[in-house]
Amino acid sequence: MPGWQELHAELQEEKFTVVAVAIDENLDSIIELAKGVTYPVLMDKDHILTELYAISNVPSVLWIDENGKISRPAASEFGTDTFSEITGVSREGHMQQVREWVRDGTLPEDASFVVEDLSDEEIQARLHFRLAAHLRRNNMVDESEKHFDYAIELAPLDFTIARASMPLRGGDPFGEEFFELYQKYQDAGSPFHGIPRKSQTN
Amino acid sequence: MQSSQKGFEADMKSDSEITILTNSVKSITGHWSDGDPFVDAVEIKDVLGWEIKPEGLCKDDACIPVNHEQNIKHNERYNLRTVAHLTGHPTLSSQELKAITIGQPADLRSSALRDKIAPDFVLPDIEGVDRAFSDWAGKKRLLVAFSSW
Repeated sequence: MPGWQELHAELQEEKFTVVAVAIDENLDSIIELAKGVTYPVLMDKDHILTELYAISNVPSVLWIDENGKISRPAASEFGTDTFSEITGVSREGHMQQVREWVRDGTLPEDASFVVEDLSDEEIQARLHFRLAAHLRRNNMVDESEKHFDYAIELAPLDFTIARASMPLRGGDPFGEEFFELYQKYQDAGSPFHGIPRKSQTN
Repeated sequence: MQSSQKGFEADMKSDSEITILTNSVKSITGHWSDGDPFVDAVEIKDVLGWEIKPEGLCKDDACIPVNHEQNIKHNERYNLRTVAHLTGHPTLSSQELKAITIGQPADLRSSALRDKIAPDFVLPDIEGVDRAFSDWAGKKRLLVAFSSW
């Protein structure tokens, strides 16, 4: 968040804003992460955005122009270099591209990439996840568990399903089960709804 | 008088709660038949934004014709699952839980991916105030999906 804040502060006089959407229901954690942030931060506890835009992991960053056209589709971009050793992505390349887009309208080559639509299974997984989260909020734990299981069965490598469910079910999204998921994801060729890392130009 | 009283009792017996999960949660009275939730026409309009008219399902100037085989009506109520499908929404329905989950219209997502038109959405900010993404139209926007997990 501090990285996006720097970019936002630098460009906000040039008809630009960051809009952050938390694919999350943990308001306290998000308020903590949003400290010092002056751009809007929205809460999406029901994962509306992941269905509307076919998002399968966070962070996913999209560029939307003044007229509501998507200038560059989802890509995993980072506001900080905290994870750059693991992900191989440094923040500066992308930040520079954003500056050029805002100031000159220049788009990188990968901006024309067409992201694959969600499969029927991935759509149903989102509905099961939403139902499970609702049941959990209403203390219907057994029923909730069942629908989290259905969701993960339908979209086992979608982080907005499999990883997002971990804290809701009392698990640890930074623990052993996350590393197991990440291994399975890599073994499957890192399937991701967005610009694949290798074809990005930064 | 007597027969209408009977009819009233029969309706009461089949009436049931239906929880509708869309972009918000709503609980209403309707009835279930063969696993499908049936609701009043006014709820169809409220939940999906489509109105039931003689020419079919209508929104603004557009109408989707409905034929008899689609069987959307039962005891003066309408099959919410079928109407949701006809208007492009995926659903997950559970009579056991008395709940139906209705997803986003598929054509909004496909036009986002194919035609690069950003679908608008309304979500609360961290102060709890509803904000539409289009509130920032006229600016270039970096839309960042993130999380604490």
